[in-house]
Amino acid sequence: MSVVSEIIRHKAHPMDAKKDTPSAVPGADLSVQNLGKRYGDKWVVRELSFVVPGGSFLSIVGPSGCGKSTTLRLIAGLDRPDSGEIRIGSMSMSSSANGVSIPAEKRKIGFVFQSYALWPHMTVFEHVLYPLRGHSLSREQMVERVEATLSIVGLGDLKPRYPSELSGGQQQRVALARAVVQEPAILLLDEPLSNLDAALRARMGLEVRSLQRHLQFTAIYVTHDRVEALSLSDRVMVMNEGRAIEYGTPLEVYEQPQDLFSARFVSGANTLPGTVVSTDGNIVRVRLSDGGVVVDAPAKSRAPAVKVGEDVWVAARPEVISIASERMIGGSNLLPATVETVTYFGAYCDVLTRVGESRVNARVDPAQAMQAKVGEALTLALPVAALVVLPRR
Amino acid sequence: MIERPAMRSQILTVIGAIAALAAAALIIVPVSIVILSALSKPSSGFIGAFTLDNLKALGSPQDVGLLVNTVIFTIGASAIAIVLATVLAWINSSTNVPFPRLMQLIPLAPLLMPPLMRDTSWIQLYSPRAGLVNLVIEHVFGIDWPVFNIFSLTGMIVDVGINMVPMAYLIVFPALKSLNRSLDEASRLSGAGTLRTLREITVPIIKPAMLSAFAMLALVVASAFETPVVVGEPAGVGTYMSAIYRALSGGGTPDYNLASAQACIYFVLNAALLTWYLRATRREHMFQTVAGRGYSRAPGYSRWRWMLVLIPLVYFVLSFGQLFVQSLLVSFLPYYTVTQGFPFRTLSFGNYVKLFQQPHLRQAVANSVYVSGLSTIVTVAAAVVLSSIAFQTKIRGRRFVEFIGTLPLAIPPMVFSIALLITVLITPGLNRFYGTLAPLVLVNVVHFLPFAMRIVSASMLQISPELRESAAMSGAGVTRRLATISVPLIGVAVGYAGLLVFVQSFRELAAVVLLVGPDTPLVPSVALDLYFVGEAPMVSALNLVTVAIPAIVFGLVYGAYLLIRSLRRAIQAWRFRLSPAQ
Repeated sequence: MSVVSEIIRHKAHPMDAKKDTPSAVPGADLSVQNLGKRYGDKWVVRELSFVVPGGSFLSIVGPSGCGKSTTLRLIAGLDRPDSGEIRIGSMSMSSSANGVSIPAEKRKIGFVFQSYALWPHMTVFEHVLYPLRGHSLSREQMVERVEATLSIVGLGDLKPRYPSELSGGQQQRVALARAVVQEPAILLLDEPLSNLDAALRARMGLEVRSLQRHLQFTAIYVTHDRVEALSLSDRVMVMNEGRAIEYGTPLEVYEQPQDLFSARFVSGANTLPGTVVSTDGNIVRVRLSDGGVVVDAPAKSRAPAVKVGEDVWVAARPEVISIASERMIGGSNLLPATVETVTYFGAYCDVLTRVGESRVNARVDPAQAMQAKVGEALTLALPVAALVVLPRR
Repeated sequence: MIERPAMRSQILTVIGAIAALAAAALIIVPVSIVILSALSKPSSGFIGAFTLDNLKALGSPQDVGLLVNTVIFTIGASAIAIVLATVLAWINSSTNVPFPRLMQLIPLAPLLMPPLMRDTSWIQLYSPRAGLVNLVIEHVFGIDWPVFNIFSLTGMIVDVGINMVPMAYLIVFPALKSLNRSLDEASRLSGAGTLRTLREITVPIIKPAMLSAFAMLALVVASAFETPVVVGEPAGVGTYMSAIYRALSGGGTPDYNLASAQACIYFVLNAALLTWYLRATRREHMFQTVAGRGYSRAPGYSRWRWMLVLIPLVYFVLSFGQLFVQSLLVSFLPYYTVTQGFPFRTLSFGNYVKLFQQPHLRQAVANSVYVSGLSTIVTVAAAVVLSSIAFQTKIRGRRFVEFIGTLPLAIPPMVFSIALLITVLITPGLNRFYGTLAPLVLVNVVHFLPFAMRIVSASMLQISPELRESAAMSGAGVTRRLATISVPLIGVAVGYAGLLVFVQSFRELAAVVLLVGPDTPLVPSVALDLYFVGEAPMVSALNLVTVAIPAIVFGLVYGAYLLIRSLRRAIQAWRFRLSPAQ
């Protein structure tokens, strides 16, 4: 039973009725100021500042070792920061300035571990009951909450099972139910889907997102999968080498990257080196180092402005590049290239070409890819509006 | 609410330091006294004028003979054990032998027998003149010269080697079992046959486990006490253990200084073996990571499966069946002799009745239960505390705690008991403990600490920190995390460790033989005394008590555990109106 259909049938979450103050703001704002964490001499997280508005969904995406999981553990209180401050709402959770550090168990944060971290000696029911002990709830209230949460994640029938008797997807749901049963203001998810197979991963991702929309907690979701990050979030933060290098809506980060790394990592963009030859209000003209072709790109972007004579990168996502037809020859933004490989993916084809020293990947319709013959020359068309010029530093 | 991180880690550091120092003092002080005593003039009391005479005596031809015998005995018995254990482990892990569950347990059977039981049975069956097997061969085949002679170095090696298999099996079997079947298959698909796969893939991968097992075995065999004394002495095969024991318990004035010098040999020998063991273990862990998980029973060997089953069965008869049955039968005899034909004609419970009637025997049983029980509680508690410090905190000096927990492996139990004896005798405040049960408990605790620690820390390492962290994220504080997550998860390991310490300390003779006084008899020491005066049936009865009492205690504890667990489940099901488990 999927969460989506469950919610449509129920219309309202069973817990909502019991909320004494219907106007209570559900998710809390989270703010992180100048956060830093050091192992020995190496700063694994540094100068990290961001705000997650209450009730919104932030994904942190980056390669392994970029500090994204460490950031999550610092927010949770499982590790101690070496600098900076973490606030939930108006409460300081951790501050290196005055030595405040609220222990993890008092922060009222839900956490879903990559490994699920289920306790082998407890049943599904006991897992979900566990966070409710210590809250002043009657036995009936506890049972009701556990039952409600389990039915939301579709585990109503598996209460007496032990983790070893569950499938991977079911284990994942237990971890999720345990994390949300105490109605945390903030839920942290550390690559929660990475142990599931592809089909289940896509479905569980959507279920997590609709659960979040429904319960309205603030969510921070760490992943190395850019598709997950783009499809689930209100905001995406890209991290590399301990720093946040990009923060924006999925659309902004994907189509208008501010930084070479996120252009390559999130959009898989081709990046061609070049030099700015002219710039007016709307168009930046760049001479590419490979082949000497001049291309036009929009002057307005989220990236820092560039000056004439400056070395830059021109970023072009594979799917915006097309193979130029005969009648386009002689137009602008055309790039002569030599085909190296053509790979068929079903919905599209990747045509990998060589342009001088660079490789350019064009993701085209399989019908269009028919024109590409390995070893032969063709012309690539780069649409002006979809290009992004990034300063080279 | 607000926590000062610095203070908490300081408290932990102080607790850790106290625990580690107490443990260190209990081990290092007595050991230092042994070394001082070895460097003191003989007959000058325990510690006197400095001399190297005791050490020079170690170079005498007689002492070199002891060393040679000890080394041959150690290597021979360890080699037999490791080969047998590997064969049995291979049969159980990589073939489709029939009755797999039963076959997997067979190699552990010798653990049920106390050493004295096994030695006396070997002697009663295989001694050259009075051994039953030799007599039967003479009777049936008319061969009048003894075919078997247990009273020889070879006899000792076979006796101990066959008995040491379980320890090697427990290290080699998991290594073989965790081998991913796909490693084998990859080798076959690369064109290698069964033999080449075995030689080039399987054996090299489990070699670290075998080496680690060998070092562990050597450590234990070199310190073995019963066989060198009971079998070795009549055979005229002297080893260091029998020599030290005779120096201190034979007639005449005990020469503590020479015994101390001989004991020092063990520090060197065992330190080398321990270093080897630790190094091999590290390699073992490295290989385990590579081998990974995933296991399926091999399909092949269908023509041989019924032949394969013979190996474990023969091993079972040799290592356990024949010896246990012999002891059991003898324990029901009023007296044991082979000169009047078939010895087992009049069986009775007379010996067991005596156990309850004779005050000395009754006292021994009560003392043993008390000493083992107390040793178990203290050892397991210490193992839990030290393992927690070593593996669950990040305080400075945690490596030292781990080292302290491993150190007693380098000290043979009898050597430690000499150290403790001298310490108690020469320290003014301590000598009132002489002849009490306190030193007996202490020597057991120190001796069994490494074994308990290995079991407890292995289970602690298996519990990923995330299991505690997820409890913290569920709002559980330190105390609740400990009570609901850590304790239940290591509970089973603690139970195993407790069982092991109780069983082993109940039968431990080497550690206590020099410490027991006239008022503090223990079951194994009384059995040894009775053996020397030729009371074989009573010795067998005591040996069976040594088997039965831990079994009864285990049954009671396990029964209580099952009862509590099912009660808890029932209460919970009632409180939360759960449907019964599916």
